[in-house]
Amino acid sequence: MNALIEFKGFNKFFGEHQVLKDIDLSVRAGEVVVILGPSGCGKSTLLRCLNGLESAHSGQLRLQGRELLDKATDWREVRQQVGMVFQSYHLFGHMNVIENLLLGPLKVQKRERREAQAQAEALLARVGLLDKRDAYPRQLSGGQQQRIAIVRSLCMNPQVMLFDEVTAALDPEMVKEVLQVIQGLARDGMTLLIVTHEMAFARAVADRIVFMEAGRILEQSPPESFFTNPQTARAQQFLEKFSYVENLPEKLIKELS
Amino acid sequence: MSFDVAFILSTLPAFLKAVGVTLQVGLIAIATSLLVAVLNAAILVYRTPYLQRLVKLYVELARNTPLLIQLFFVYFALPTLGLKISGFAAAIITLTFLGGAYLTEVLRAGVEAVPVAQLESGRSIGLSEGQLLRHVILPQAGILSLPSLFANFIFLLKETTVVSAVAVPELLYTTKSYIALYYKTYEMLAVLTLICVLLFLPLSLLLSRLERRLQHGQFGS
Repeated sequence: MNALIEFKGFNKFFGEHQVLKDIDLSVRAGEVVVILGPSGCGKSTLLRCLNGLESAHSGQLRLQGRELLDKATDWREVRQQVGMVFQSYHLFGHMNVIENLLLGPLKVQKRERREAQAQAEALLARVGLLDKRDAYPRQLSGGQQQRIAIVRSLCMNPQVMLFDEVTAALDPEMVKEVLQVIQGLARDGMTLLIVTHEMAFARAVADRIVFMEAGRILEQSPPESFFTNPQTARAQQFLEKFSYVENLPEKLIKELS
Repeated sequence: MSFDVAFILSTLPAFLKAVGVTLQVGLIAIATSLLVAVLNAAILVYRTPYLQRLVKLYVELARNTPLLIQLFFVYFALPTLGLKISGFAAAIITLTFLGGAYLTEVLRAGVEAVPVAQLESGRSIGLSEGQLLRHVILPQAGILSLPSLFANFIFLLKETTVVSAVAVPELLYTTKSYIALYYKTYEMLAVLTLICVLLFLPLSLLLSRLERRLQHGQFGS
């Protein structure tokens, strides 16, 4: 099997506390993997390890067959292939939109301004924000900033995109515009690793659901079977909590009448 | 009580010269303080072993001793150790000693106020640590520290009056000389106050305008 990303027996500690335990996970090129699980289960840490923002303690992590946990790994080079989008966008506040987008392509990849700018503008147009080209982040809504943050990663032409709870800080109205952008990337065949709490979105966009708890992967299955027939009791419990929230209005109405 | 306008007019050329000396001492001290502060802040931010403890000691020492005593130490005590220096040099050294300490803290606080998330965001697009410093940390730290940086510039300019104690012919020294010679206390203090207001107030306004302009991108108008 030709895996683009491959975790094998991967362990990670924060001090004494083991946050990732014996992770085995492989992702094919073009696959969309959604990682679900309760807060603190290690799903964000898993993404951050793949981008070198956290370092691992043991095990293997391969990208295109190349071992990343090697001391000689040039993370700057890896990061150009693995784009990351954060929960709170983290655009550079002192730069306008186009400067945010061009910093990586011009300074890291040393590309020509004309070509990089044309790409950035095309991507801006694609997410419907070309008119915000010269705006500063503070002048934009959360949803707009998050779409720009996605474009900032895309401008590096990565092979993989990591999304770390990218809609968790957004108003419900803005969630849609961001999810549509991610869905578009999935349709284009980009490899995506997504951590989210949007269950309906996970179900719609994922090729595979990975369910984690307490630093372990408990279950990996296609979305339909995961949501209709979860294999582990813990996953069942987890999904019940979400359906409880969904069913809440009906209960309240009953109690009130 | 009479107010001798003719006398005031006759002293103006001397005061004009004193303004020049004040600005000269103040501006040189600001520049050298900034230089000292950039070096020290870099040592603190990068947690350079040993040196950072030395810098912390210096900052506490400079900030917790009176400027006038520092000045006397440089001007009167150092010569007994065989280091004879002019009043002007003593003024610059002392103001740099104090200003460097204050500005060190301003710059360090500015750098540390840049959110970690901004650093991760920069690293995640592949910026090197040097590029991160140049394109993300320094611009943001600069903007964050501007208000206290400018406040300290004005503070240093005003503190130049203290160096009148070692006969540097700046504003206060000139004033005191005239008072001693002609007993025109009221007129001379009025002139001094007026000059200070005319000198520092526009500078203050100019700096806060500059501050607003530079912060426009980050925080809005």
